[in-house]
Amino acid sequence: MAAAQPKPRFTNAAREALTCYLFLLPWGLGFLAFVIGPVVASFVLGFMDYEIVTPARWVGLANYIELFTDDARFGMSMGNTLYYVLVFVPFHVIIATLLALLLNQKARGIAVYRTLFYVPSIVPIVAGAILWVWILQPEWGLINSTLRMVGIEGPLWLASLTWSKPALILMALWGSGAAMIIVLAGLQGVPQHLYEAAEIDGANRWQRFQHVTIPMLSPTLFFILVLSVIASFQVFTTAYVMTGGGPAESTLFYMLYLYRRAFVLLDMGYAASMAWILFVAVLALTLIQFKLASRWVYYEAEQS
Amino acid sequence: MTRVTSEEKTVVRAGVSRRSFLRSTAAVAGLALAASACVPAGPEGAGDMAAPSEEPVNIQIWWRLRPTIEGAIQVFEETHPHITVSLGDLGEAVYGTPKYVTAVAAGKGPDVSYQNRHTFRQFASRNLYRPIEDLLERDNLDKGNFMAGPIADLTWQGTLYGLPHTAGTRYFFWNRTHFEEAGLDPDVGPETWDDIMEMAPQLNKMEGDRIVRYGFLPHFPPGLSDQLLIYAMENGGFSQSEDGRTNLINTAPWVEALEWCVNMIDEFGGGHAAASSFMEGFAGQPVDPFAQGQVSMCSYGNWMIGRYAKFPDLDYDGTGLMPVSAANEGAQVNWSCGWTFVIDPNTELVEQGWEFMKWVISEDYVRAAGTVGLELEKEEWARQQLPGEPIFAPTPPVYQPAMQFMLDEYYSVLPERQKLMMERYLDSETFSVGCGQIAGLAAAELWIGFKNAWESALTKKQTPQEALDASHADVQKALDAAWENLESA
Repeated sequence: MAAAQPKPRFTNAAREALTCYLFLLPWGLGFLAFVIGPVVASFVLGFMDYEIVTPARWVGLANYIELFTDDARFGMSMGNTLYYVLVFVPFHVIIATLLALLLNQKARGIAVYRTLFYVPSIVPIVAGAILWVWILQPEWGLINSTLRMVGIEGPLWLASLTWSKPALILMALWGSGAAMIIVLAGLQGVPQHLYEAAEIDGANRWQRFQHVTIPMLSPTLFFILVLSVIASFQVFTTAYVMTGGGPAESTLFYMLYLYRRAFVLLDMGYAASMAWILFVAVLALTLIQFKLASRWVYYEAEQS
Repeated sequence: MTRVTSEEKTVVRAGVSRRSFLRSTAAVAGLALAASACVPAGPEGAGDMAAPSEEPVNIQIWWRLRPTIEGAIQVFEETHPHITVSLGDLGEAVYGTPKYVTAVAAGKGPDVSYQNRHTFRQFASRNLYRPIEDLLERDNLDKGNFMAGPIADLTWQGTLYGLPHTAGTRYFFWNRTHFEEAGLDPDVGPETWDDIMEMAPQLNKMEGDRIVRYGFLPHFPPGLSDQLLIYAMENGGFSQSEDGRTNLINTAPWVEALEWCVNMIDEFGGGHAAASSFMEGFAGQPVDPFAQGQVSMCSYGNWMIGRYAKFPDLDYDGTGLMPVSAANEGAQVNWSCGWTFVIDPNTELVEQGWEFMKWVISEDYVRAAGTVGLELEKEEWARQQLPGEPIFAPTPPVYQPAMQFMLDEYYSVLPERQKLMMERYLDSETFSVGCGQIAGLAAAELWIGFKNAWESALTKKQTPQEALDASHADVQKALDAAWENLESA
């Protein structure tokens, strides 16, 4: 009689799970240490007076109370940021879509055009910012020189209280190539038979766009919309490099103000509370977008 | 294959050939070795070596990296074989020094760092620097051998926290050719605001109704955010009370100074839009409108004395005696700022760091940096095909023996005009107020306050009074908090 086989300590499934967790462990530890840890720390710091170089002191809700009752820059920087979001995001989505439609044609050399429109989005943001400082230069910059040729005296752009934010938005729109590529991929995923069916039904070009392209593209547009809103609320680098928040704080965006409080004025506790307010605001807006998405975003899988 | 070191790459990037870099470095090293044998050390003990150890100790230094510094460090390492240096860039240093502050807070700061003086007291009061009184006393380094202003800037509650390295004041330049064209005496610059207001329209040059050359623009140079300070001082303004607890930037001298600047632009600068458009054209450019002959008078800094010499068509003159308002007539006014070396309060390599600091303030450093600097200047001169001999006017050191060496070695051979201008600059250091004393415990907030008030008034977003009231409120709040934290600590 054969000796009974010893029972394995772990079943195959358990061993597989253990291996999986072991492989996940380095990432998990990194995530805990470098993401969750700082997030929790920043939440706690929001209730403290912490100057980085001196011990933190518990102040309860004082930072939040000051933000809402005694800090004009909080409202102003949020206002500047909302202006940026409200102007940039619609233009960004529209321009990316129009470019994608344009570059979705079967034309000779189309790959070259696609590359050309995509290139600005991979230019390092600081290099792009320096380039745009020159483009926006009021005396001899490309834009004003061109405007002057058609008899228009261009604005001061970055030196103007009125035009500084539009100037930064203009520069940001220059980098719409990344979104354009995503929309282009979405467009190429629209089944051809839907267009053919619409055509057989007598739909003209506009009707095909309105009733086939847009609904089929809506998940892609929704994705871009959500990401653009989140990214726009965090606008920082261009303003930091091109204007430093000026002139007269007309481009002092929320993140720039947060950075100033944290690293220039060493008010890390206050900056942490600002970060959490932004987080809650962006989270709320994102949830609202998801809630409203059911009204205009079409998911084929949900319909079947 | 020959390996190219990072130092060489840096120099090549700066437009200097590899051969000339090697040549200058070899020259510097040779000079340094000879100097170590026959020239007495700068400050007492500078260059003295501790008992040689087996392995050299590496110290980290954060500086504002330039090719001259890389060359000088090589000399330091050769003359101090028991110390090696890892150089890092300091990063932003006008609106605070976030890189240094966060590194020290994390216990990972460099052993020695360069620091700006206007924020010095703010950070010294927060224990970001190691006090150096004990080291100074031990090595008999006499504070009296330094310019008085910088030493005062670096002293917080009776204790010295750093060794001042370089200094600089505001400086008023004028274009002699433009003066002659306008029938003005090119040897005499404006002494008062009234002089400026009288001269500016005579120096303006028009094309139709457009100004193509400005006699004077208060917001020159482009991008300099603290210009308001010198105008307020010219009008008798003080930034804070003597006890450092009350901010005074919304007092009458400040408001009048800002009003004067706004009026100057409106009356003689074609208004804010035209003047800003003109000035924006030079933002980020290596050549400013004064150098290009498009502005006739400007309020800038002494470091431009040497730089303007690179423009052969520019016949310029200048003074460190800034033009003052009628209310302040006869007063000698200026402010001085510069760079300083500090020791990280957490470092264990205090001795090595201190040894480097004593060397870097001494004439040994001036010689090392000067030799590389002169070579670079010659290269630049040749590259730009400039006529005549290179004019080399390096940044003045604060330590008097090093300054004397610089005077003898470099300033004495300057052309007469630049030599005279350097003398005027040195004279202005004697009556200048240090920026550390001006800025106090809320320096970063004050500098932001200058910028905000300046831009708000010039763009007409607010009146000068409103703009300065707003900045005052911000700075006072920060000042109150700083004192409160200090006293509760």
